[in-house]
Amino acid sequence: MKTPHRSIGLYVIMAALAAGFLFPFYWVVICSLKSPAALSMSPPAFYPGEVRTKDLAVPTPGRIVTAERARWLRLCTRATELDSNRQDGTYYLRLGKGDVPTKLVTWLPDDIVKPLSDPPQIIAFERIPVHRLTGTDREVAVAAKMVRQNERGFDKLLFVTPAGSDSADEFAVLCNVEHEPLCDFAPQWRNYAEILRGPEATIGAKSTGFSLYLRNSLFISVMAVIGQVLSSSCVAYGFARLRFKGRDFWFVLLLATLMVPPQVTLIPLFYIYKSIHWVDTFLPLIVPHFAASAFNVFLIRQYMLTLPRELDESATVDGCGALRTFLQVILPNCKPVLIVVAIFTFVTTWQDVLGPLIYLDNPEYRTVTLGLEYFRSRFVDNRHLLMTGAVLAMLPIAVIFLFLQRYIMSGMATTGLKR
Amino acid sequence: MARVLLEHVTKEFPGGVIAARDVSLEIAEGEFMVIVGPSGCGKTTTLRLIAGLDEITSGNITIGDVLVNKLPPKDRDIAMVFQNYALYSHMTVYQNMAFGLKLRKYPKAQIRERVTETARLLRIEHLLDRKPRALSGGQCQRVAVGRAIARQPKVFLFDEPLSNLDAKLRVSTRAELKALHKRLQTTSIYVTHDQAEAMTLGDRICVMCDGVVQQVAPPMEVYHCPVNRFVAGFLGAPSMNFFAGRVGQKDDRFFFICGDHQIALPARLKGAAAKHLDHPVTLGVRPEHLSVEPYPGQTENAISALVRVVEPLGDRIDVYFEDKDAARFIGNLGPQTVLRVDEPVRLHLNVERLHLFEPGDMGKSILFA
Repeated sequence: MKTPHRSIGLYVIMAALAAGFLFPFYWVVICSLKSPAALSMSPPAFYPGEVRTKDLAVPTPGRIVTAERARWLRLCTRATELDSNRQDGTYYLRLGKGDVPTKLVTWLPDDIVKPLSDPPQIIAFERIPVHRLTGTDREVAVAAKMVRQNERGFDKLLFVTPAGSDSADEFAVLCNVEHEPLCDFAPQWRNYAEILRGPEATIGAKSTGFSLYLRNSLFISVMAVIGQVLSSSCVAYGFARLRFKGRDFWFVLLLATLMVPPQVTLIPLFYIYKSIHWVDTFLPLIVPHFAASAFNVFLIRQYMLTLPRELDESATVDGCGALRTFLQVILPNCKPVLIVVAIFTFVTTWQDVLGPLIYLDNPEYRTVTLGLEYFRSRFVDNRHLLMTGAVLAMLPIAVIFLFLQRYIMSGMATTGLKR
Repeated sequence: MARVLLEHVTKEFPGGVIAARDVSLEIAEGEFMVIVGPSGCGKTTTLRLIAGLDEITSGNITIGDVLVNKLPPKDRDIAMVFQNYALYSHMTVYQNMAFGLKLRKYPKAQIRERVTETARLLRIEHLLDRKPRALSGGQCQRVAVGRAIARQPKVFLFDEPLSNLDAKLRVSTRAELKALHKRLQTTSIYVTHDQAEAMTLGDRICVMCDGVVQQVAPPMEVYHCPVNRFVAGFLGAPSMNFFAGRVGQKDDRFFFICGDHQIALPARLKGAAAKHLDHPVTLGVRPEHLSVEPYPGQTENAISALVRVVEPLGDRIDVYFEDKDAARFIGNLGPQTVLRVDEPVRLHLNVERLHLFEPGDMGKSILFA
């Protein structure tokens, strides 16, 4: 008999574990509802929201302080100016007028220093957060994000300058500021609207919104499910019930195909599909599912073996042939395992990246996974949309598990019990 | 309704197992034939051969006037009730019963009529809309029987239909089946390993062992005149006691001699005993033909033994005895008998009911030799 406090302890532990497992999911969902600025905020907010912004004055280049990180800024609290006159290849901050420059080598990692071999130039300004000011409540912060291109791509440097004053005290304020951004609770539902319509920054085709990707993925997955359930159950019935020569041998051979890694067949398959002009159509992603898969056949066969043979015989006596026995007696009794197969097929097809990546070219044929992949492009920063897309992509799967988990349990539990 | 005729039917499974060996059996029109035997004796195989679920290796099976050797089950016009009911779990009771009719393309109205009529007969009308999952074992059994009846086939085949029911239900369902058969008069073949079912249900019983038919006869005949030691031992609970010994002769009387016991054989066995004089034989006596009281006019046929176990059953007492050669046997005594364990007794045999067999497990009866 368990004492109450012991079971409380157990529940606490279980709740903690559950929270641990659920946290990433929660994180993705809230991130999908954040604005881009809120997303890049550090430390991050644990609720969806938007960072409070204000128009900024354009700083004058001569009084810019370079900083990549807040901690770096903290060091240069009294810096007023970046010494852009290079001496021995490093950068210095001049602390106050006429002070001896302080060397910054330790705080400038190589990949920041190197791109600065030319004097930095501000090529873009962004609205960045107004921060809560510690100490005084004056809004003095003016910041700009400079995007500077070099041969390796893009670097981002943060230039900060006090507004209207170059006194050292105000820089001190700035440093604390970086760590206390203001984030309002405001779920950005428009992220979803934007992604379904198609993000403006997506490179390439017109009208490649997520709704199109969803439709493509759904079509492919549903067709794959239909194909797998039909074909695998047929084959499984043959192996489970019909008597033919070499049945066990063929079954073992079928299972042996599970050992062939898909990477091996990838390229030959591509050439086959190319030769019949199926590349850049949905066909290579759908048609193979109508030819059964070894694992599903195995799963269904094992389940069918648990059904009593008398069921078939009873149907035979009642007047069913093999086909009708299969369709009207065996198949309805296999419902749990068929649902498992359907779910497995749906989830794997839905999550497949490699297949669509290889066979699909036309942006209008992109699946959800491919779409996400393009959002991750190095040319565009769409992290908030990436999160939104991820939520949309996992939504159907989450729904399926929520509503069909009863069948998954029973289907999995009964398969493989006998033999 | 139809006659079922098996002629020299043999079934050999791949791998050389012969499940039925030269089985010849005639089941008359409207007869209730029970095939009984220990597990593995080929009784279920025989039934499946009749149903067409297995193909015969040689011989002929005729149902009605049709030779059905090569006919698939659905064309044999039979219905089968399985041990585990084999109901279609995804269909309601009504659909289960209508399935066979639907496949035979009966008009809807006629299906409805037949199913409801059958349901009324079996008193399962209130269950028609339920799924088998929601039924008890006894109800499932009724539905399975109903599915067979609704088809109105020529022959019913029952494959141990009652063995999944509990003891009480089995007895009551047994009686119902018998009444049902009386009413429908359909030729029925019923396979069981339970000798009580065989005795109560069958018009005739077919006892099988090792794929071979041992005896086909009405129940009481099989019970009282078993053709061999196997049949004698198989039917009856507790089963018949056997003593190995030989036939001896003193003056003009014959005796069965087994150790110290000498049992005078009645005059009706004279001929048979004379033929086996000094040969080894097995004496069989049913428990109910043992008594602590002498049978009228048979004072000398007694054997001494010790009481080992006493099992009072209410209507009678089963007593396990042991003689001084440590041979054990069972007596079935009246409820008033008072016996203590380890008490020595003189047991009297009803010689009019003795059986004599040739030696061996399958030894033939020599009463009628």
